[in-house]
Amino acid sequence: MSSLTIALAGNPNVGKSTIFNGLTGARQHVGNWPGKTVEKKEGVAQIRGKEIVVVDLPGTYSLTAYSIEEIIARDFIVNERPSVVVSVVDAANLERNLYLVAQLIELNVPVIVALNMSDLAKTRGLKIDPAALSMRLGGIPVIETVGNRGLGLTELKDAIAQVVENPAAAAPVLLDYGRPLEGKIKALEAIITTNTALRKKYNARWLAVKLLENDEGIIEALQAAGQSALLKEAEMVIEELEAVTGEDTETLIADRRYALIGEVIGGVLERPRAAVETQSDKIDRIVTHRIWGVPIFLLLMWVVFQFTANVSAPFLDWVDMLINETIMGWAFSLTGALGLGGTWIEALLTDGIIAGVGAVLVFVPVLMFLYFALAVLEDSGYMARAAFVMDRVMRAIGLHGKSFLPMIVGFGCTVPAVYATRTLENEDDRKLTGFLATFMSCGARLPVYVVFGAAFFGANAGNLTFAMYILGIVIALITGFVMKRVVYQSKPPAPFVMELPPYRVPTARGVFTQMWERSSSFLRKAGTVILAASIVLWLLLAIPLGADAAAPDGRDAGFNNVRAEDSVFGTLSGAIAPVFAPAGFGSWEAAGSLVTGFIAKEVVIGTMGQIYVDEAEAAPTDEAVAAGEEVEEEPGTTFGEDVGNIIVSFGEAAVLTVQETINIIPRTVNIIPGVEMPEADFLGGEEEEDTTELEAALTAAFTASAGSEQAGKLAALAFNVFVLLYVPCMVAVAAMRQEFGARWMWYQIAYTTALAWLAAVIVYQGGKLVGLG
Amino acid sequence: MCDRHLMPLSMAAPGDTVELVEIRGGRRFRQRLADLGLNTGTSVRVIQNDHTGPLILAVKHDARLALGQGAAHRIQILPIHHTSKQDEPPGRGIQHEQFNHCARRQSQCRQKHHL
Repeated sequence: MSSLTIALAGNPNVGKSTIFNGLTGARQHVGNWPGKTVEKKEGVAQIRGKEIVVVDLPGTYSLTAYSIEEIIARDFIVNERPSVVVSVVDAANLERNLYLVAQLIELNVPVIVALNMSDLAKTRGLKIDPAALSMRLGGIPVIETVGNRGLGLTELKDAIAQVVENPAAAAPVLLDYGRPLEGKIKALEAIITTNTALRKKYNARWLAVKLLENDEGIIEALQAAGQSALLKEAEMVIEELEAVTGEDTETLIADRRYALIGEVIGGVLERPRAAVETQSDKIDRIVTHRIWGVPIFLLLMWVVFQFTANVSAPFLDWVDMLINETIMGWAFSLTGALGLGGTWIEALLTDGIIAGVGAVLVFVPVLMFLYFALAVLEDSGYMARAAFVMDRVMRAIGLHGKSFLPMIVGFGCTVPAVYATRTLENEDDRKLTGFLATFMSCGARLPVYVVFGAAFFGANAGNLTFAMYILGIVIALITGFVMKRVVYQSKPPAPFVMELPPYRVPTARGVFTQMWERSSSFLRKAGTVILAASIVLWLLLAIPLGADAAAPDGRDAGFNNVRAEDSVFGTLSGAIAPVFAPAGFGSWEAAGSLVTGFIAKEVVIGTMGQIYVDEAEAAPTDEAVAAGEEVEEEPGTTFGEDVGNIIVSFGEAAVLTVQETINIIPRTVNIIPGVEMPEADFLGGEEEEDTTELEAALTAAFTASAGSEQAGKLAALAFNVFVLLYVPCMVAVAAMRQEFGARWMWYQIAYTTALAWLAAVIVYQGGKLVGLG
Repeated sequence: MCDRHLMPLSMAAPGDTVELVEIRGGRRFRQRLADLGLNTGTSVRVIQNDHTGPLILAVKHDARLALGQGAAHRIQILPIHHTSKQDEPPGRGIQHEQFNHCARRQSQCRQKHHL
């Protein structure tokens, strides 16, 4: 690795990532900052034959110690001392952006300013003189760039090369804080310079300013280093200054910085005489309108929802076929060819690994479509407006608008919803939002409602699904309302302040990059956590428990040759089954499928499919995580045919995706009563999901365990309520642990499980009481 | 301008350009606002304020910030001037608009005193 490192710093939404991509091309690595959940992007740039490591610092407005991102950014600059800091600045919002530049300059590192989006500035009638700006900032290079079109990158690279060779070329000019601050800064600076330990670690002037700013991070670090004498001195200076000016020192410093920036801007930036209503302002007049804002928001969410649920469906089916038919078939052929057919190795590979990991991979298309839609909303600038519009609603439960975004994401999948809480600044709000997002019915719960709806409620199947979504929202609102009052009663609501970035047309590259980065992190999880869990579960189903355990054929059981109910899994499920008796579904099958549902909620159906439908044939493939579809075991197709089939069906899926995208329009129009708009149907007739066998088995099983048909329906309803509310899948739980800590994760597990049980019992017993059962 | 009394930012009307005089609240709150461009002594233009949802402000001319009513209530301002909506042609309408605006503000002030 090269020893040369440069860092990119800048406000959020200034196109920093486009500059980063432009400098590094495809040579990027995405990870986390050590010990932090904040994403760290690193890449390598080729500049004049030299390999230079480019580190993308988190987007921040400032370098105080008030957020994880700010601490990361400034610790990196203070401790790692990059050769150059490229400060990416939004040319169309220069004045506010220079506030961060001023703080970077104070860190006394070589700085280059990239005046990004200079095209947008020009269309707004802003005239910036880069040479004058450079001069006013003490001669540091100022380069005009348009990151998303790759303009100005050569010039930027040249400037980087020059500064790397001669750091003095970007030696920053010091800000003069004027009277009375400057004298006190100098006094503190003098004390710091006499202290060898401090002089080594910090720039003396920067440290002096930070002390006057009451910077929490610095005060803690100095306390830990035993520098209490200096802290005492700083306290006295602050008291003196506050007595003289009647203002606190942070305010004095911030005001003075902005005043200096105002002076810099004076001869550099020319604005149109009158305040201009920008294009974005015009759009905002409608989109953030008191009356129109909410309907527009709901319409867009409906489209996202349709896009995620329906448009992704053809690819979901394609991946399902690919994994559960083609790859499964190959696995059987392979084990057969190796002489392992029928052995436990074959069972582990097919029933354990492929079925288990496959059940989760099937949902990758759903996530990719969701991330695509969210990336479009984010890059266009709409996300901030959604938070704005929903602020009124979220106030009612004591959260602010930004909390709504993770909940929207939660309808797709709880895992990204938990990560999406990072946009919230207040830690309590973040935890509560993550907590509530788990009640938004995610895509994986949908198959359960669909199968049960068809089995028990016939024509009213859709109502079951709808009722579950509404119930999830209601429970979330009530939980939020109660928790905000009981758990956080003393805390005032966090102030709502948020930048509204200008609207922009999202670039394909930006959207696809985001979609890929987020989906691939999900794929990594499927390859690790879910793989391990699938193997463990398979083992539990393969090992018999108890002296009277029997094999499927009735003889004595052995490893990988045992009836499901006699396996470790079946026996344990049977042991916990009575817990669910008050809710009407106290059978080991129901209990067992709820347990496997912890891996991923769609697995509930997979497990039931295996246990109920295959009970008769009861091969040792009573694998819980199989996707519920019968595998073609005879090697009826050649490898060539398989590949051809994959390509053809991919093409079909692509056509169907287009069809479904178009169909969003008639589906939306058809909501209006009395309007009937036909939907497109390109390939003629959709495949019907063949679940009748499972449905019949389910009806029989639930009716039998509850006692009557009516009671069976109630039990089925209670079961669905339980699936909606109980612990989200293990990946979501792992995400919660990573984001909020182990203690919070256990609270969450305890609360959701208790609530789910209680709600299911209320539904079943309550229903019986009012005479429904 | 009709009156130069301090008032909370939450009472400013769309089109007002106002100077931030005092920001009440903890250090964190004030620092956060300053980072985003809302420091004392700066002037901002109110783009939207319907008195129920968050305000939209033009800050440092080119930045657009959404600010909740609660936060806006903790910022004391002095009105500087008022301009009517940009897309209306300047001229005739302005005086009338300003007059109405002042009258409205004074009645708001009086209401506040009663409270």
